[in-house]
Amino acid sequence: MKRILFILFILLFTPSALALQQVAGQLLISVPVGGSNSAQYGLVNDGNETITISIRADGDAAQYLSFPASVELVPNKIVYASITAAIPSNYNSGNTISGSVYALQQGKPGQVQINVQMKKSLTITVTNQPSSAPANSTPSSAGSSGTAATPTKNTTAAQQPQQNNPDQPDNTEPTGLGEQQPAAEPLQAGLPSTGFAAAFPADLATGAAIAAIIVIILVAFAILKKLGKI
Amino acid sequence: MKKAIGASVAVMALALFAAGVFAITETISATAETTIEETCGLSITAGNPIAFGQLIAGGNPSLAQPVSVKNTGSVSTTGFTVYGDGWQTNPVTVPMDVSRTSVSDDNELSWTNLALSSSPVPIFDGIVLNGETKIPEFRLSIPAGQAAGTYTQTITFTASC
Repeated sequence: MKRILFILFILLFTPSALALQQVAGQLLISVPVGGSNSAQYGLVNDGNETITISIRADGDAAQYLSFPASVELVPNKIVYASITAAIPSNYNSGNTISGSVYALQQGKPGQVQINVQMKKSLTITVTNQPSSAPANSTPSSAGSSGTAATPTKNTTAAQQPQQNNPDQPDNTEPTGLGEQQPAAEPLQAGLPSTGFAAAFPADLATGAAIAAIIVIILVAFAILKKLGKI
Repeated sequence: MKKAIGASVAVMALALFAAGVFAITETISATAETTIEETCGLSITAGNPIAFGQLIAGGNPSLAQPVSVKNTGSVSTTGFTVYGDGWQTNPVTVPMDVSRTSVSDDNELSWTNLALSSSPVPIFDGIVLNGETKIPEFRLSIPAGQAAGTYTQTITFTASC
């Protein structure tokens, strides 16, 4: 009994450890000039309490990225932070831009506070480039991208900008490792793919069956009445 | 007689209806789909936060303080680094350089080659296998003449995969 109480005491009063995971693989984002596209950065809190992590980016790609400044992670569940890359219409540099995205979990204050951080490599592939653009070089400064498509950095999740214009291509399909994987789908009810029921959705088939039954009853009554039995 | 026939028809209709509903219910099936992602991760399982205790300026360095770092993910890290901020006091007097803290990533405690920096320094060759625990050790040395006070520092471990 004392041992159980001791274990319970330890479990209750042991502070939660720093524990942060990320989905493996590189973030690859294909973006047309003047457009935008997103990749999903998967993060997991494998501690036992909800935590808030902060996200930042560096490298040449950072100036073209927008993402939530912080993300709340509930225990033991993958949460995807949307990383959006927007390339201005006057972009005229290399067709690949590299950078990194970081997720930081801060530790407990103390004489030496320990933080843990996950780093994710990211590559933006710029498509629909003018033929004069140099291949595989990176832009030298952020000053050349001051157009309507210039991204706003560190926006909150609720403020994720919709940067695609209606007349611009909308390449929102996932591309490459580390991007959005199909989430676990909820249980789906459905009918088998053969026979009468296959031709109709479940609701339609039910309605048709009830209608058929009512028709049968009415016909039976009509016949019986005609024969003088009712 | 008429009542009996009417009752029979009603019973048949009910039976037919029940059979139809049963048949439809029976054909409903359930499908589920899930994606299992590969991950890497860092968990500080012991030694957090570090406490070097009370030290004397110009005196002996602190004892080595181990920190247990486990890769809780399903794949190895492709990078594993550590960096720190400079030592700060409150109120601010004379900050102490980040390099006063040393880190050792082997059993030989080769402190001199691994002074902590504000830039990421690779440790353990950047690799922590999935499920593996690494135990870097930290040590602090206070220079002579350093002002007395309570100093704090932040150290950040970074993993990539």
